[in-house]
Amino acid sequence: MDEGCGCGRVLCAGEVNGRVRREASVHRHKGGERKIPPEVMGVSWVIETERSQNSIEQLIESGGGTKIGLFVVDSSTYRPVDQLANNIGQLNVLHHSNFPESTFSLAVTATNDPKQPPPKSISDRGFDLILSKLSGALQMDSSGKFDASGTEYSFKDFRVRVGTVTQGGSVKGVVVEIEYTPTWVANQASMMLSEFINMFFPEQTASKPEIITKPTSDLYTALDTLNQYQQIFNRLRKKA
Amino acid sequence: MYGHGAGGSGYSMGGGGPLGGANLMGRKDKGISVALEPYGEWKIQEIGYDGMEKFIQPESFADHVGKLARKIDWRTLVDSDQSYDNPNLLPEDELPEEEDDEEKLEDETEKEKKEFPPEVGPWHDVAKNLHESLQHINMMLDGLQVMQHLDYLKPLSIGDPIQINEATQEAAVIANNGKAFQWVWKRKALNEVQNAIEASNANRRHLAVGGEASIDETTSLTNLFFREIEELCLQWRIRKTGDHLYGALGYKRYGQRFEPGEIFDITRRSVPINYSDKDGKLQQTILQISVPNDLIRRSKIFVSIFKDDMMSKAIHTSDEANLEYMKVDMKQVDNLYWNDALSWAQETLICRDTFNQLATDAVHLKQRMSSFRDGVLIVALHDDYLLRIELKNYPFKAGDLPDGGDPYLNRALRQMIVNHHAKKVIRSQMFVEMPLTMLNEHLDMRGPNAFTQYEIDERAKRQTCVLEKLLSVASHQRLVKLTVDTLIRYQNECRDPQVKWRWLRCAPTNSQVMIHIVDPHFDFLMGRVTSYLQIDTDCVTLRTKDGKTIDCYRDADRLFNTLKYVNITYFLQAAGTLGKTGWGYHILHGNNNAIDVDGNPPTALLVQCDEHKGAPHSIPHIAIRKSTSRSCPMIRTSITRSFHSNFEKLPGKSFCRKFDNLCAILKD
Repeated sequence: MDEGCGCGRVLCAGEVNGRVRREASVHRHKGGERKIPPEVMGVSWVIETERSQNSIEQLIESGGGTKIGLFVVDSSTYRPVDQLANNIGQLNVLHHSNFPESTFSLAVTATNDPKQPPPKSISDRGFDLILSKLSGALQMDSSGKFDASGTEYSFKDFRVRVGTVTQGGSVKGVVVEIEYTPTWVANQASMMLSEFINMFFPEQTASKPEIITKPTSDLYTALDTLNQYQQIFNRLRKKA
Repeated sequence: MYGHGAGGSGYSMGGGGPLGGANLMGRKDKGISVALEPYGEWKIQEIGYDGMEKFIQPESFADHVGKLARKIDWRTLVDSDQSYDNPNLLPEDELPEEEDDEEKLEDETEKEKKEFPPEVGPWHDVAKNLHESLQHINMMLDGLQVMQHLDYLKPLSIGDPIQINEATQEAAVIANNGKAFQWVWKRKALNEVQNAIEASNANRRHLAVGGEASIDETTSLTNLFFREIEELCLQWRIRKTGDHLYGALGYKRYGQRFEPGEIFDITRRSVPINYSDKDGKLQQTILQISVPNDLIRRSKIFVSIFKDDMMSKAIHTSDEANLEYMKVDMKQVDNLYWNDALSWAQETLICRDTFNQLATDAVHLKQRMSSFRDGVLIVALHDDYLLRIELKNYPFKAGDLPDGGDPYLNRALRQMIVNHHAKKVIRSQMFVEMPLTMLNEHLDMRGPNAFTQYEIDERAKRQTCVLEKLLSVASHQRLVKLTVDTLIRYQNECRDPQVKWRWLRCAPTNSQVMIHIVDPHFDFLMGRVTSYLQIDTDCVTLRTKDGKTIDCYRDADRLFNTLKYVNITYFLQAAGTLGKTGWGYHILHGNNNAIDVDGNPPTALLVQCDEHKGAPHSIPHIAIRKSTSRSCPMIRTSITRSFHSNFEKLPGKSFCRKFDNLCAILKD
């Protein structure tokens, strides 16, 4: 670790108010390696594992990951009332602590027609208030609410979030989200994510999400991450 | 030419038109029927050819009653079959006797009475008019009471009183009807109004000129008071509560006004006092102002930059002379002109609030040292330089305050404080289309665009405190001075090549200078080489023509050497171009930046290969080396092994001229 410039001044020419100047070739920021700022959203691969949260956390920390905070992902289900059951489908509303101002909505249609994928949307948090006004058509299923909460780690270019999934107080499983931050293009991150999974979760290599395996260079969005979470929650719902 | 109305009731314009439906232009305009009749005037029945006007007399009471009575259909009330009208219809046995006639009449009148609807009778119009006239009389009585008790109206007798008796009733009627009487009272009324208006105009002209000599003393003092009150209201916030008049010294645009500590009282002196205005003339003032006691002093803020060394005495000063302001003579303060007193008190308030704001900001500053003592705030700027902010107090007297500090920084501080207070605290409501929010920061659609926490934090504008802004401005100002001094020194010391510089941009926190280097005698070869100096708040950076960036930080010597480096680079390029284009040399090695394995500086190697054939060592070549010495970089030339020249002794004033002469010598 670099000890600093050694000039002895509190405010040396190489730094301004504690921030390192990228063009300064002479002085370095005092107190350690240059920190990589947390970038914008990257490409994520969410897996559900049988291991315990503690063991995964120890694994990440032993590999060099540093803890940076906590995270929460929750999913609520809104079902249509009996009179409208034939007209409108079920709606899943998700929130992710990494996107504090957003609400993600994933609709469920009766037919799984690949040509007509179910509608998805991202809106601001006010959407939840609107849903409460629509209680005449859509009613929240309190028993079907999922929560995934845990710890977030920074691992070079990766962000790893390890959390326990609970439904109504009972633990359902452990979910891990691995986010490769430098790129937004899904297929560009595919190799790096595969390598990471292979290193830490070799049993999960087959569960690669479809969005990452696509050869097209579509931009990855937050909805794709939450979609992966919802699919895991659906699987866990069926579990006893 | 005027059409008469039906019944000769007057004339009207428009309608059919004064020209019977066609105007002068020959077009037919329908127009609007307009009747202009003065209220209360009698209608004209006829205007004779001699100008005699015949009026229609208004109906008297008896005429009016008769008119109404004619409207009543008595037959419906009385019944046409009654024998009263036609006695032949009655049977013989029913013929009334004379004695029964009276009884029958009584019966019939009773019937009439019974058949009248009780609520509305034939006299209801009469009753209505009577009521209306009673109201008019009440209004007249009110007017008379106002005239009697108050001074708004003055009744004026314009004619002899006419006593209406039974005997002279006709005289009153004749007087009312007489045109002469009407003319007389109208003319007199108009004359009175004219006199009143002329008097007020004369008074106004007199006051505007300023002469109050003719007005009595009480009125002049009253006028002075109201004039001064008006002037006070125009400049300051004034409020009246009951009989108490007070104002506010507050200068903030938003927030609470009339703060308790900023209120001044306004009273009227019993005797006006004299004061001398800006032109030195003696004026009078009748208003007395009482400002808060802690504002009875004059204050000023001085901002300056100084270097921290052991000999500096300017860090903190506690002079006894600075305590003169604490000796307050209330009598002398009371005799001050109110406008001066208020403006000084407000200035003191602003200075005090500014200093408190800066002191608060200094406490919250990170990674900057600051100290506060005796009204002086010292904050570390950069390197060994400190920013000094002093609040100085002076006695509450007339006179110019001494100047001090840096005028630019003083002004910049005042501008920042004004901007700080001019910023609205509460954002005004806006209609926002999509996001379900009224908050300004949500207009970037951070919810629907799924912004991460990092992105939201980055976009959050951190409010910069006033002291930080002042520090950046002061730091930049110091660096600008440093740069200008260095450039001038460089221009004086290094005359070859010619260096010119000019400002591209001058802003409070960043500036840019463009530097041209040119040899005026050889500009056809090299043209002008341009470099840019970027001056920020903490660093001076040079950007060369080929895109290289050299940081000079805050070091004047480093900047000087950087300018010399640019100079030397110009020489290398000039030598290469001159040798190549002018004398047919080839440039073998012309790397400006690379240092060889042995640590030798870059060299430009020029050689003439065409004319000389032989061993390479005998080929004349020119090697130009750049010295690595930071203190004095210069170019040394060496020409072959057998011939070393002292470049300085070559003929020519500039480098290009010397080089040109050298090439000429070699060619010979």
